[in-house]
Amino acid sequence: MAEFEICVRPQMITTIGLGSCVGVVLYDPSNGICGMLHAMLPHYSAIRNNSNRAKFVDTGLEDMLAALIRQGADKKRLKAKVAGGAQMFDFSSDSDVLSVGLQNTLAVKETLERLRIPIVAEDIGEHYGRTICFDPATGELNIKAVGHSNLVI
Amino acid sequence: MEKMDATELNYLTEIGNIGGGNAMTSLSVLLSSKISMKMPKVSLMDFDDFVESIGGAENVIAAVMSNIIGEIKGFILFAMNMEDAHRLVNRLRGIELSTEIIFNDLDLSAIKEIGNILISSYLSSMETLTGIHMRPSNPMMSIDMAGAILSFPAIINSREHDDILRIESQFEGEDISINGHIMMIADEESSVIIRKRLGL
Repeated sequence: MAEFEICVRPQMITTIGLGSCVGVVLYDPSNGICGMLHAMLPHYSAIRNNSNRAKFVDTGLEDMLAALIRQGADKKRLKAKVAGGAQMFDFSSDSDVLSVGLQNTLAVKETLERLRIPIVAEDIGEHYGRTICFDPATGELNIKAVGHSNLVI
Repeated sequence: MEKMDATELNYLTEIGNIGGGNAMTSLSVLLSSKISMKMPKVSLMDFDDFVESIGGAENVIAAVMSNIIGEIKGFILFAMNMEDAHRLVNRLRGIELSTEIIFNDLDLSAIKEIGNILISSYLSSMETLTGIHMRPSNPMMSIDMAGAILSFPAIINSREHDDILRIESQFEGEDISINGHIMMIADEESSVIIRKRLGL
């Protein structure tokens, strides 16, 4: 949580128990270099206590992109897959604070549009947690959720 | 992991004792059985340790959460393992059901009510001890992976480090035993208010 990791095939990469947090995979299909971000909040600038840039969608994606390029990924070939951003509790009121899952997925879309990286698949929102595992060899993102069958996107 | 001095520990243990005592009385009525309580384990810990203490991020738990409203702001959450949730529901239904069974609406509302009772008990003990007015909002409930559920209140209050109050209480009756975990997180300003009021 609040971190990203770079991984190269034949390794795989996973993050456990995404709730309102969002998981973003960026991968270069030509060489199997990928990164996975597990971000908690949408925008770096909105929070005072922000020593960890990977905690936020915008700065986390920027830093992960830079790390991928250093590793040898080609920015023009990068694709994104997104999962998470659920609303774990049913709130009747709909204040800013409570739709943090939705804010996170919106921030992913904004940031990736700005970075010109296409989102090729997503499984977002709803009311349940997800554990995700990405295989850069196949480009498949496996999603497990309690009470739901496994999903591959 | 735990950064507490003796005074702080005393206060927190007292919250656990009084809150647990109130909860015990309510549970006895609800389960129509004499319920006793073991000495609660109280600690301040970070998010990761809390998640580990309840079986890890992928462990499925039943959780009931309320906003804290009043002079302070934050969240209070009651969580138990599915085994305990099933024991509780079986007890309330008066029959043994498989632990594989999916809870119906009535079961879920029973779990929610029990969570609500425990949350209210601990919060009112906190109020008594600090003199700070606080009460829980309507409870909300979720059954899912611990990591997915518990990260929510931690995120909202930007609290991942050493600032989560955890109270683990074991309630025991003649033929039932329930292990419950309370997680309480206050926002930064509220934590300052609480510490000030307790003279810490």
